[in-house]
Amino acid sequence: MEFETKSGVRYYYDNEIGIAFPSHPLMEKMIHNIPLQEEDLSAVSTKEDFLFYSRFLQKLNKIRPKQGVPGPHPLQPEDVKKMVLREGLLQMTLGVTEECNLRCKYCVYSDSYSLMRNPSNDMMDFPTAKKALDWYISLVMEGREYNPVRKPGIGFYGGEPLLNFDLVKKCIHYIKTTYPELDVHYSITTNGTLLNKEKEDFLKEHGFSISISIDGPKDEHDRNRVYPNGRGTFTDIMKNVRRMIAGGYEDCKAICVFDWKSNLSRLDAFFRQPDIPRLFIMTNPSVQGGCVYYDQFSEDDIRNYLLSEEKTFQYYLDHAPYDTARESCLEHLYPIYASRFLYSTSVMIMPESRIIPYSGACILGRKIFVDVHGNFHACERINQSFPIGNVQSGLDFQRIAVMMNEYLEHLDSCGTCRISKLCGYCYNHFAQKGHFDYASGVCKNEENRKKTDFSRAFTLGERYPHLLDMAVNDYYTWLSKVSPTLGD
Amino acid sequence: MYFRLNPECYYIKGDQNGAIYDLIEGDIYALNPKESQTIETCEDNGVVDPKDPFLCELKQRTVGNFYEKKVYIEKLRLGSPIADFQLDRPPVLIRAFLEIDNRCDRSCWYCGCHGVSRSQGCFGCNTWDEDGTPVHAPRWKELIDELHHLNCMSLLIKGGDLTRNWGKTQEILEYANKKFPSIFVIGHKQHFSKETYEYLENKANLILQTDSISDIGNQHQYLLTMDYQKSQEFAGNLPPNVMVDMVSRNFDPLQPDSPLSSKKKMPKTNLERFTHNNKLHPCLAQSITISWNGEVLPCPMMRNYSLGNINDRKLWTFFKNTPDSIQEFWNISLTRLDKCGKCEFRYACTDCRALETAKTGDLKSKVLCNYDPSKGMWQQPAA
Ligand code: SF4
Ligand code: SF4
Ligand code: SF4
Ligand code: SF4
Repeated sequence: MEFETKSGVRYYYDNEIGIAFPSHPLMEKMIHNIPLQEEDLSAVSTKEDFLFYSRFLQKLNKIRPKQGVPGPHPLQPEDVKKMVLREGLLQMTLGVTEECNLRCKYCVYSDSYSLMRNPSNDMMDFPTAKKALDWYISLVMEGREYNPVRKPGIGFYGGEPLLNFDLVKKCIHYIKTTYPELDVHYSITTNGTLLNKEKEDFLKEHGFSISISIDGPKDEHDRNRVYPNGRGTFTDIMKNVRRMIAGGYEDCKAICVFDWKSNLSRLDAFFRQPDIPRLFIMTNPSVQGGCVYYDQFSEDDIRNYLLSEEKTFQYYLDHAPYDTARESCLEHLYPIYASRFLYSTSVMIMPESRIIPYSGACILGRKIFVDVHGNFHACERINQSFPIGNVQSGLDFQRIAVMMNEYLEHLDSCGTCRISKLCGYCYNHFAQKGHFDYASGVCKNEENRKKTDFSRAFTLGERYPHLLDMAVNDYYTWLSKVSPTLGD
Repeated sequence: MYFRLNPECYYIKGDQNGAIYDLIEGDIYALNPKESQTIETCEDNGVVDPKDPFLCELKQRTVGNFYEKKVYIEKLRLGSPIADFQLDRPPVLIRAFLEIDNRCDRSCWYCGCHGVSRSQGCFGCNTWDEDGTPVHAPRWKELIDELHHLNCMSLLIKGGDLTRNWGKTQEILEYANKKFPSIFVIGHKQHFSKETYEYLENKANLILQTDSISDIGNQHQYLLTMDYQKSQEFAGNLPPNVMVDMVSRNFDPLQPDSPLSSKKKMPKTNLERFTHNNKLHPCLAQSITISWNGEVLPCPMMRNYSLGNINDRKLWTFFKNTPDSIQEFWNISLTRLDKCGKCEFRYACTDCRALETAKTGDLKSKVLCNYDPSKGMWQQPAA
C-alpha cells in the first residue's frame, strides 16, 4: 500500500514485513512485478538507484515470512484455559452499580446505544462481589505457575461506582483480610462528582489509581457531561479534582472524550494546566453497540472539525511543543497516537505465534468485567449478549472457545487485508446482539483510514526523527505504572 | 541531500567509535570516529555531501540511501516496543538444564569439579564436589510439569554419567518425552554404549563431549556444540540426533590472542540476537538450571549463585521478577557491564558469565576481551 506525507515523499507499506519505507514509482513497479520500460530506467537519476532498489527488495525477501499464516484452527476449552492462565487475568472489574447520578449524552448506557443496557437502580450486593473476587483470585493463584509475574488488578466501575462506595470498601476489606499476602493493583473510574475528603483518603490509603472523566474546559465539558436535569457538572468536578491534586494525589488521571464539535486548541490548553489531572486517554464516543450518537452532527460540523484538526496538526508540526513531563491533547492526538498506531501489538515481525492470527483481538479472559447480577463479560464496553461466565460457575472456558472460534470465522477478509498487521480491531468492533458481523462488511474503509494515519506519523517522523520513540517511552513508562492493561 | 540508513540497519554508538548492524545480511561495520560522526548527522536528518565516498559505499552495500527530502525511516523490529511496557507479560523460558545426577568414574581435566576452565561448559557433562541429597525421580517429574506450565521450550538433561543410574535416566526421559518435543541429553562420548545410543535415538538429541580428537588445533568454534555436518566430519558416523562438543587442552581461552578473548571475529548479527542483547544477557537469559541437589542456578557452571532450593519451593517462585529471582541474571545485558556498556559491539557480542566470574569473582566484570571501547582500540596480543 502506498501513501504520501505532507512534504510529498512517497512510502510503501509492506504488510508482510510490517514496515513502511521510502519508495519511488520505479521501486513500486518492481514490487508489483510490473515489467520495466526504457523510460522507467531513465526516470531514476542513476544506475546506482536502480541497483539499490532491486538489492533492497531482495534483502527484504530474505526475511519475508513464509507464505500461509497458520489458518484459524478450532480452539479447545483446555487450550483456552491454559492461555488464560498464562496471558489473561490481568484485571477483574466490578460494575458495582448500574445507577448513575449523571446523564452524559454519549454514555454507552444512554438511549444513544440501542444494543446496550439502560441505567437502572440495580446495585451489586456483597455476596456477588465476594464470589466474583474469589473466582478471580483462585484463577490468579492457579495461574502463578503459568505466569509468575502477574500482579492481580481489581477495578471498580459503574454506573457511577461511588454510588455504591460501601461495597467498594467491603471488597477492599475482604481482600486485605482474606488474602493478606496478595499485592493487588486497585483502580476506579468515576465521574468525579461524588468525591469527598473521606472517599479520597480511603482511595489514597489503598493506592487506587483513579480515572476521572473530564472533557476539557467548562463549556466543552458541560456540553455532554450533565446531571439528569441538564445542568453541567464541570464546576462540581473541578472543585473535587483541584482539592485532590492539591492534596498530592498523584495517581489521578483524566479521560477526555471528544467529538466533531470539540475545539482541540482549547482542550489542549486546558490539559496543560498543572492543577488538572494528567491526560490519560483521549477517545471518541463509541460507534459500536447500536450507536446513534453521531446522527446529531452536520456535514459542517465534520468539515469544521477536520479543518481545525489539520490546523492543530500543522501547529504541532511547527512547534512540536512536546512536553516530556506531561502530555496534553496534541501529544495524544499526534505523536502518541502515531506511535501507538505504528508500534501496536500486531505490527512488525512477531516472535511468538498469535492465538488469533488476525485483528488485534486478545484472548477472552484477559480482562473480566462483572455486571451487577454477577455475569462475566469480556470487557465493560462489549454489549452484554456475550457472557463468558458468572459468579455461580466461574469463567466458562467452553463458552470462550466457542466465542473465539465464531469470531475467527467472521474474519473473512483479513487474509487479503493490506493492513492486517496494524489492525487493532477486536470482538467489540464486530459484536451485534449475540453474533458477530463479518470483517468484509465492517472494514471497508480501513485502508484509507490507515493511509491518513501513516501520512501523519511519517510527516512527524520526517521533521523530528526521534519523536515517536520518545513518545512511546515517556507515555508508556508512566502508563505502565498506573494501568496494568496499558489503558485498554 | 540527506542520507539515511535502511530500516534493517542500525547505528550503535560506542564511547569512541560506532558500528552499523545490518540485521538482514548479518554484517557489522566498525566505524572510525569520523565515520561515526557522519552517520550521526545522517540519522538526525542533517544535510550531507552526496559525493561523500563513505556514504556512497554504504549505498553500494545497500545499507542506506541518499534522499532529496527528509524521510522517516521506520526501523525493522522484532515484536512491539510497546510490549516491553507490559509488566505482566509471562517470562519467556527457552531452556532448562536438569542435572539429574552428579556421578562419573572418569576424571577429565576440564570437569567442573576442578573449577570452571572453559567457555560454554554448560553444554558439557560435569560433576561437582558438593554436599546435599540428590533430587529423586518423582520430584524431577513434578519439575518437568512445572517447566511445562512455564511454557519452557527445551530441556537439557545432564549430570555426570547418566548411564550409571540408567533406570532413573530412562524414567525421567520418558516422562519428559510426553511434554517436551525438544530434549537434549548431555554426556561424554565414552559414557554411551550401542544400546544406550539406540535407546536415545527417537527420544532425545545427544550432545557428546570428547577431547580425543587431537587435530582440532586452536579453533574456538570446535569448543562449541557443532552442527551435524561438523560432528560427522570429526566424529565419524554418528546417528543424526548426535552433536559433538570437543574440548582441547591446547586451547587456553584466557590467552589474549585467542579468538574468544580477542573478539577479533564478531559473530554475525541478526534481528533476534540484536533484539535479545538489547535487554538481556546473551546466554543466561531465558534459561534456568536445577542442580542434582535441587539448587536453582542461573547456569550449570555458576555454582556460587544459587537462588534457593526446589525441595522447599515451587519452581514458579523463582520467576517473580524481584531482586532475588532468576530475572536478575537474565537482565545482565552487556549494556549493564561497565566496559561493554561503552562498546559499539554490545548488541552482537557473546559472553560467558561463568568463566568471567570464575576468573574475577565479580558478577559484572569483563576481562575476557581485548577491545578497549573507551580508546576504540584492540589490545595487541602478546608476542
Ligand atoms: S480485514 Fe478488518 S479485521 Fe481483518 S485485519 Fe483488516 S482491518 Fe483488521
Ligand atoms: S565425563 Fe564429564 S562428568 Fe565425567 S569427569 Fe569428564 S567432564 Fe566430568
Ligand atoms: S566483550 Fe564487551 S567490550 Fe569486548 S567487544 Fe564484546 S561488548 Fe565490546
Ligand atoms: S555463562 Fe553462559 S556460556 Fe557460560 S557456562 Fe553459563 S550458560 Fe554456558
